[in-house]
Amino acid sequence: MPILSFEKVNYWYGSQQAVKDLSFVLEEGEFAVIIGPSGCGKSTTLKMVNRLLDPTDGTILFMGRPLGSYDPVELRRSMGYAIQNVGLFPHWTVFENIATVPRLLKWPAESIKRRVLEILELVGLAPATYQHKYPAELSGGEAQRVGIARALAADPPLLLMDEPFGALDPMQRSRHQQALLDIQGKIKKTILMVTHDLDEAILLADRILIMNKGQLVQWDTPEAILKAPANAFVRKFLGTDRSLKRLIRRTIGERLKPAIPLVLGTPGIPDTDRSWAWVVDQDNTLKGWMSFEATNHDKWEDIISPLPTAETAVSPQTSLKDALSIMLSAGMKVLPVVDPRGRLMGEISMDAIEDLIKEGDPHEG
Amino acid sequence: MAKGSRLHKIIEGLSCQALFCRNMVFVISLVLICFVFPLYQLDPNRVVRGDPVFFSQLLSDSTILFLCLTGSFILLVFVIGSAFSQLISGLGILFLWTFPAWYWEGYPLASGYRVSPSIGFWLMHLVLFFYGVLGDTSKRNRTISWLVLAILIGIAVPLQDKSPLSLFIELRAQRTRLIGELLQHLRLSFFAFAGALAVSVPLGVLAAKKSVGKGFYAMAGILQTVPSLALFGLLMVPYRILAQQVPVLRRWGVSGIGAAPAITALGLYALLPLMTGIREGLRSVPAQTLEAGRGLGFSPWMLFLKVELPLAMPLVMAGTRTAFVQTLGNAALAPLIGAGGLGFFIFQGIGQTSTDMVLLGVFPLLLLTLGSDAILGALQKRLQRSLAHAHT
Repeated sequence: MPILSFEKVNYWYGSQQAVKDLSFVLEEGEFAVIIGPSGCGKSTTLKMVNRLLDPTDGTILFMGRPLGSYDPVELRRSMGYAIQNVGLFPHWTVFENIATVPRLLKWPAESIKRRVLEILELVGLAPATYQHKYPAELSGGEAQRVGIARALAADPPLLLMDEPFGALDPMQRSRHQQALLDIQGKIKKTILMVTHDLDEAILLADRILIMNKGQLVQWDTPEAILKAPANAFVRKFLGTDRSLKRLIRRTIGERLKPAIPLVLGTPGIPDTDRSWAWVVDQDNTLKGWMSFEATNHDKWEDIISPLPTAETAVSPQTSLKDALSIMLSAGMKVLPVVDPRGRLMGEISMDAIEDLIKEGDPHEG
Repeated sequence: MAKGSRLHKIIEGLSCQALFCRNMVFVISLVLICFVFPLYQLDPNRVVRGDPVFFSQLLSDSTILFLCLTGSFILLVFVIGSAFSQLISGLGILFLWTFPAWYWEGYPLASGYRVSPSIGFWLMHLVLFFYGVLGDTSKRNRTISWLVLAILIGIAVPLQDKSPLSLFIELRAQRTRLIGELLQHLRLSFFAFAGALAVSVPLGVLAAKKSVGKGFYAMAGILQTVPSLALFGLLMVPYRILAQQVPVLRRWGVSGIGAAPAITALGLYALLPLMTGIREGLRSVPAQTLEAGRGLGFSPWMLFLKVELPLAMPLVMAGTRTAFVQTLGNAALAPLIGAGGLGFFIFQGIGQTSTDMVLLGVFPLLLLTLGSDAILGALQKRLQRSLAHAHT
């Protein structure tokens, strides 16, 4: 049963139409992101879900029942709500903030305590350190995490987020996005998020809802949208670098090719058609690379070339977009892929990335 | 390291010098006042003014005694003055008030003689006051000072029973009347404040949330600009008419003069600070916080009670404090329309040119206003500390 379903929903602000004929279905466990230019109606749409606004027209079903059949206050208690400026209650501790909805739902004190500590761990804040702090003592990033914890505390079937990472700096933002992905991996919540950051949407969403001037323009997976934009607006919105954007979610692990290295201490040149090879030691730890042209030296160590920078040894979890970027800045067409201990797992080539992109972009420009 | 500690010593030396200078200035000004101005006055009766009493006279009368007194006081100042300036200040003031009872014990009171404070007396108060207030003492020292002073006052007060100091004579004569007017003053203030509170809370909330509240708020503002005395006078007429038309009210004592118009005027005056406090307090709550609360599932009433009101409290307290202290002060005018209160002594004193009588009304009034301001201020600070993390 779909968690949320919009059927021809309209919203009028006086004489202005903010949302027009919006219809979509959100399945359980799906992470959907609404994105679009300012004024496209995305925040309005979100606010209609928890009845902070009521649609002028159309039906919204939550868990199969129309929103109108729920008491608004009860409804909101079964939806998590996290907003951009967090809105933590300054006069309550972190613990009390997170315990807000469980307390409203009259959970027993023991369950509340257990749940708060559990959820603090989930969002990556050590309970012992944080539970008695006040919001003013928290940094922006910490406050946002508490906001998310507060939204998830009562384990609602649906989580609503309105530009939650908008007020964070880029470094914090990517950390929080990754943290959210991890959390989602663990608990598989149904999430409806509004953002204006396309990269964020591509990274996080199972499906993206693109809106423009109140209307739904495209509703599909990020990959599908990037490969086949529905119209000129979407193409423009995605930007001319949309091929690169497709690489955001793909990791090196998907296109990893085995590499035949030269092992120190073993005689002979590895069996490869290339004129060079990676060099590893007996433990398979990457030491650098070597060209076969200069082989008349006594010491191998003299002719092993180290890698230009440490970041050129990438991990399988690195995104293909980052890999491509590293390739370009290091001037290398192939990068060695290593495990956390530095042992060579394989390699990733620019050709492989190119193939992936070619695999599905019928249109150009 | 050596350089640091040398600098440290220089700074310490400088501040020691500053403290020494301050004590010197303090002692020198006291001595100057003592020699230039008369400290007291010996009046034969209530109306006629008598001979001034100079310090030099006292010195010549009982040289050793006063030299010892002065000497020990100066010593005390230099030894503990920096750390316990409030204590020194309090001791000085206490001494000035209790001195007549001690020195002129057994003076021919029956003939109506009294000792009145003179210019020197008040000037010394000024100097002592500044010394105490400007003293930069730690909280602990201040508490000790107040405790010691409290004990000393406790001992000294019963001993003033037969004090020839004019103010105390007046106090003894008017004791019952004073208590009566004090109670009346408190009654007027409390009723006015309670009424204003009851009216301003809904109006203040309205003013913060809906545009219709703006009208009430403006009205309260206009009322403030009317001089309090005028307001008292203005209310006389409607109340008289009211009392005439509605006999029940007359039986309850409502009339053009007296408590009813006084309480009404005081209440109207308290409206503005109360409403401002409530309005600004509610406005100071960040909108995002309220939105988050709504979105999480607070009912409108719970949101107001559990989130909005606690966060609005600091400013609401500020407004309440202003309103309360202001009401106490304004009530001093109540006797002008026959409502009684501490102002009675002030106006009587003016009419009889008796400063003592005026002071009899003024000192309790000051105690009330300063005292309630201090108590409410401490309450406000306590509230702000528990919400210290609000409004960043």
